[in-house]
Amino acid sequence: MESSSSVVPVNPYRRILTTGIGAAALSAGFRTVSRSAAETLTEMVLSFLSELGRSSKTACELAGRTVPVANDVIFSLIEMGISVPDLIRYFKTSASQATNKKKFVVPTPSSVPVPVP
Amino acid sequence: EDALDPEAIYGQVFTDFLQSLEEFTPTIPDAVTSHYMSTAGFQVDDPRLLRLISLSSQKFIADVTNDAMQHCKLRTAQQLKNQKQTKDRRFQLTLEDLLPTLKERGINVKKPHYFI
Repeated sequence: MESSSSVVPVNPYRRILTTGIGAAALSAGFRTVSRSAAETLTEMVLSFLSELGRSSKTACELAGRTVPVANDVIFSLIEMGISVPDLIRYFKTSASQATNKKKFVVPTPSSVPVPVP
Repeated sequence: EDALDPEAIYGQVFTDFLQSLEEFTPTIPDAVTSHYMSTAGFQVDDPRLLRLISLSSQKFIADVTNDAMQHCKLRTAQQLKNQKQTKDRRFQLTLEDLLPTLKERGINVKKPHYFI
């Protein structure tokens, strides 16, 4: 992702969100992200998070609780039109992709072939 | 036969999903999600809930960027067909691809003229 010192947001939380968006764009196949697109997506994710938080809090209070549970978030997701089975499918796919990535393996004496003199 | 039908999310599938979220590392860190949740007035202490929220926003970004990628590929394929240039595989995510993608989702964004 291209960047210059003048385009980096000052707020560290916002900067990390922009970094996450860059990572998502990279995994989608993009090599670079324009500044305006990154800012638009950051603003949208911020709006998404705020709406999810507000809606989850409302669901929690509606049930007469002060401590939120998973069903409050699920309720909000459904209310926002997000399919939970699709979310579980996405999680399984991304988790399997993460485990399939090549990891650095420290060679052990048993795995290294010993040259025969 | 499909374990992910809407009725099954309240059963064992959903419980397993929540448990496996404990070992999941989302793109958006827990601290950032927690900060924006508390900004919205929602105090979350359970890391599984934070990761569920992070995962849903990660999926949201991934869906948008994947759609924008398809749009970008179509657009560049049409340009290559017209101009008959060599293939350039370095795609850039711009508002030109992002705006039609967002419009399909019912989000109308106008490109600001002052944004250089």
